[in-house]
Amino acid sequence: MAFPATSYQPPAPDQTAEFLAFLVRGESFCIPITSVREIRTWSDPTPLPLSQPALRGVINLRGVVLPILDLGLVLGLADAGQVPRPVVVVVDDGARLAGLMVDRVINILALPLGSLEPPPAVLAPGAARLQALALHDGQFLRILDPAALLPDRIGELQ
Amino acid sequence: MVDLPDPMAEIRAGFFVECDDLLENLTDALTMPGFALPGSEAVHSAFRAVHSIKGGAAAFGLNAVVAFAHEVENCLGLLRDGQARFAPGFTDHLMRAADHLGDLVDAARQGLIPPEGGHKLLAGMQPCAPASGAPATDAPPAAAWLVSMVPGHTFYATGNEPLHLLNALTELGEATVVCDTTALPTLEDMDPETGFLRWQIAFGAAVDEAALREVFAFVEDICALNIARQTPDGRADHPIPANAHRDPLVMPAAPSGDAASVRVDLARIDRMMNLVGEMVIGQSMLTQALARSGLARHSALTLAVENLGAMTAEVQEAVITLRSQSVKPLFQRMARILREASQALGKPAAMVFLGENTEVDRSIIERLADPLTHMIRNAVDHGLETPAERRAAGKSECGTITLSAAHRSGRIVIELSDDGKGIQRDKVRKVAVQKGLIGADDTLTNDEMDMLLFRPGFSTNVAVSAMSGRGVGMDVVKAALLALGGRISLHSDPGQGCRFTLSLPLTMAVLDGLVVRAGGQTLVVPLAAVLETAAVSGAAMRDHVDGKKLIRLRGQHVSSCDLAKTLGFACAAPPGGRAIAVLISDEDDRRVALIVDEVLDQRQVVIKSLGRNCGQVPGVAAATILGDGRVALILDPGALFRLASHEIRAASPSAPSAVRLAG
Repeated sequence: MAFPATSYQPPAPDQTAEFLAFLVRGESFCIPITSVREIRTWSDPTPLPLSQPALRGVINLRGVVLPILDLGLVLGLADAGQVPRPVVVVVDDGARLAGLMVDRVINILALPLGSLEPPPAVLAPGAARLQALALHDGQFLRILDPAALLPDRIGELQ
Repeated sequence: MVDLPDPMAEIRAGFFVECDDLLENLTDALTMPGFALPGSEAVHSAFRAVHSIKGGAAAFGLNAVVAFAHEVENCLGLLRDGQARFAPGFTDHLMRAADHLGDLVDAARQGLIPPEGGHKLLAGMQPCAPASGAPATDAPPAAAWLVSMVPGHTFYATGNEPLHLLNALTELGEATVVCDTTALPTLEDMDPETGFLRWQIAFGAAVDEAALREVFAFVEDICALNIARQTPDGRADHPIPANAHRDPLVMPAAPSGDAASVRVDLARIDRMMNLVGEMVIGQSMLTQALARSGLARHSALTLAVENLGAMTAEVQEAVITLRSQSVKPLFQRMARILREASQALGKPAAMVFLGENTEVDRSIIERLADPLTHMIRNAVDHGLETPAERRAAGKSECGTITLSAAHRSGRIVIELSDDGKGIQRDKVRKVAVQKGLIGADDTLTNDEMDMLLFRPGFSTNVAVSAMSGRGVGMDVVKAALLALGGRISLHSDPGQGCRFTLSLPLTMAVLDGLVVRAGGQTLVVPLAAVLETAAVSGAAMRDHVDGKKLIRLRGQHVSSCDLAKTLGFACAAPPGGRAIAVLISDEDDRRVALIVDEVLDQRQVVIKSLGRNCGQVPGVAAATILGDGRVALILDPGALFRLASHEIRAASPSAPSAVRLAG
């Protein structure tokens, strides 16, 4: 993304950004809060024909047809069985909307930008969907890249 | 950073929208009876339209438009004032000039190079007899004039400037201008937005009356005006009441000719439509919850909710009509296509409009232009005879093409008929046999024969002409109409002509659908594709042929497709082994019976696009939202056929997997 020269300033190391942390298949992940539109309780989606299991279907988000992705399957995590009451995190990557099915939302974290590190080139499950890693309270946090999760890939899921 | 919209670009866009209206007015005026009469309202109206286009175009430096508009304006001016006579075909030339002006405006709008051809048109518009031999009888000799001008509130409110008028007047000849300030109140009492000054302009030398009136062409209805001949003693003789009945300072806000209207961005209407759709769903959820609550049917709450429901439905209808437009601009475009086609093919033809004020959703109108264009060219090329043939058949040399629009049972019906030779069935038969569409010994009814025209690859014209026969035929027209949820039928009387009837939904926003259940899912089949539904038992299902199950419906074998299986839904066997077959056909009239568990309902559903968020989905055209707030998928019959046949060939890995979706 190009910024006009006058308004862009490189982030100072002590600046912070906010992230939404949630549990997927019992593991915690984060996503930049700026890409989160809303959080919804689960409602059974309408399945789409001949789709991959990760695309659970579509729901009605106030008149907009919203695809629901099973984030655990997108990230290739081991299936721990159906969570009793999953939650849908509605994310917007700037071009499209989609709902991510997660176990539950944990909290909102403010992380210093200086603590973010590029994702390692390891072939861990879902590594391609990562935007960054961060060390927080002695724990590694995985920050997901919304654009790498969303719709362009929905075609691949069918 | 947000890009601020360029204010100039907005004004420019506004000008072009205005141009469309003005061009419509111009075409209207040119087709009005009595147009060619000097001084008729029609010629005035045409003149004003061209003049306004010229003025706007000059402001944006669109020189090609200005130059051509100027010539047309001059010509209309001569006609208006009865100063010249024109050859009989003159109106046709003007019509073509109006078309050319439209082209120039279009080119300017898109920033293209202005099209050529203006000079040739202008040559055809020169008066054949300047001032027509006896000018003195019509036009009184120019004399000295006394003009009194009292601009009213509206005059100033609409941005006019008396100084410009006075300058223009004094350019006509030497004049004495006197400003009358007697009506001017004191500063405390003065309303600064109203004019209080009056002017008297006395022309010393002889000035042409027409030229004088032209100065006031744009303000004559917002300015009290009195133009009178001066008597030798300097006083006004028999005043010519320009608009003397009007109170000079209290002017009506605007002439009542055009109804008040607002231009609204389409996106805003769509958003409103979306919200109203949600409201309808919310309303029906409320009704359902109420029904489950066990409240008495006549309780105050139930009645209030019913009342609200009726109002909600009305609001939805009203919002849908917001997107509606009259088909008139479309028809006018078609009249132009006819003019061009009839000229190119040397078959004179006139167009008659019926019901051109019928309103339809804007998106339908836009998508009708191409099929109709093709049909009109076809009608001139294949339908109408040559003038000689027409004479021999006892018809008038000039053919007639009638284009009509009407609302009929919740749909719009557009009919295009010609008075040509009708469909020559023997010729159609020969071509169809030749192209292998039918067997040489097949017996076909007249209707079946006529429907051959819509088969792909069919074209009867032996010599491919410049107009039609570009390798696309009526099958393309039919496909385009089907994509709009429309149908087309044809009626032909040999020797009398041919009539095409197009039936279309009023809006692209709703669709008539058959709501079915298959594999535990609720799905919508577009009603336009459904031929019939029938209950089937296991016994009616025949053996497999090529992996397809055959089903016997009305004495015919049709291949069937288990909808739940084709779409990859878990298929629980329907209770009791019973199922319903929904027989559908696609645009090529291929048929397949969809096996579903239940048919729930037939109703109009609001179409929601899957596009932006979901991309293309196999077998599905769009989605809708049901009364319970859940999403239901609207099936695409054409894509289902491909899915079903792909399924059968699934064993062979080379089978193409690409699935096209109707948009």
